[in-house]
Amino acid sequence: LQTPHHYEKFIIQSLVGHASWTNNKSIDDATNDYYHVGTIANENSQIFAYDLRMDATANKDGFLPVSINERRARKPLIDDLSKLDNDSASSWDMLGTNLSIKLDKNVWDTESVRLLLVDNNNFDDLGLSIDDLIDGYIQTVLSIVAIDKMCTFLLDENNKFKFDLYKQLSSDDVLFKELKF
Amino acid sequence: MSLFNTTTTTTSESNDSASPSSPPLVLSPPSSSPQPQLPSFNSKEDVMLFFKYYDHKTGILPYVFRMHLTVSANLKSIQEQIKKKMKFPPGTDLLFFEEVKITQITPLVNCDISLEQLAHEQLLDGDIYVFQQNAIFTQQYVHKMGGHAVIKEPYGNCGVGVYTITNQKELDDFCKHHIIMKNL
Repeated sequence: LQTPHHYEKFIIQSLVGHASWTNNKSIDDATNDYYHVGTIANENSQIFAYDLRMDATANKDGFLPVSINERRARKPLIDDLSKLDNDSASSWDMLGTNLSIKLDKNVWDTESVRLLLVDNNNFDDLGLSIDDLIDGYIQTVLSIVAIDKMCTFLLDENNKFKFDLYKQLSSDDVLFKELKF
Repeated sequence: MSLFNTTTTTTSESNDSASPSSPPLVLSPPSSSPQPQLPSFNSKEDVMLFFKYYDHKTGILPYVFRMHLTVSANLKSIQEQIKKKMKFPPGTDLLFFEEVKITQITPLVNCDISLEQLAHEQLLDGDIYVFQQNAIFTQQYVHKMGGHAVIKEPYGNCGVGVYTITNQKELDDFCKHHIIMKNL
């Protein structure tokens, strides 16, 4: 939490956590939640949250898959959050999969030990099937199309950015000034 | 001398004793209803503070008022009084600052300790506190999500500017840190 910020607003979204984290929710709400299945349990019965990144490209003939990689969190995912109630523990260690570490201003390092590849060593630990990969590819393509449509929506007939429309959609003045100037 | 306990004289009595050249003295007859009085003030246990409301949207101080409080009061209880007074919606979170001097505003992040302990040096009558609504309303949204959420800054990436919240402590840490960073 030692990072200064200067924007007026935050993006707040639901958390994908452990299946047992249904804190303060009714059963109906909780059953609609996503949760981490995690890696296949290791010899210590620990599972790790991980994400899968699928890259795709497109040309006039359509979309093509390019690459797949995965990243896992630093610490195993626990089912009992009360174990976090001390000063040293953080849920980010269980849920954050980013490999980059900020050492100083504009100085970064990468924890490549947490990078998982689609090879014989790692892939079996992920518990994925070919159906999951197809599902991931379809979601990737649909996301690209949606982002592309949104970008087009924010341009006028002269391909100029619609600042007024954007300001209505995102009323963060600091962010808006950065975009405009 | 109390203004409210001044002995009053009827119009006719005043006219009897006055000289012909004097203008008539007209006084109201005593009222049977209780007269308004200032609240009692214990100079050792009570303190009178000024509060300024800072509107973060317009950047101005549209409202100033005073409050008589006990020195043992804390910001958590004061916040509830102010929210009622200002008619803020339930769940509104307030940020408090002490105006040490016009160029020095100190954030007050500990809402549980008494005003006496909270004061910059010494708690004095006439100290000025500034408050504003928490612009990000983070706590409300996180509570709506059952206490679990991911909070991101715009352009947050590479694990910087992204925070996972799974308990009250993580939420409090997030709010305290960002409130301080935003307002210094």
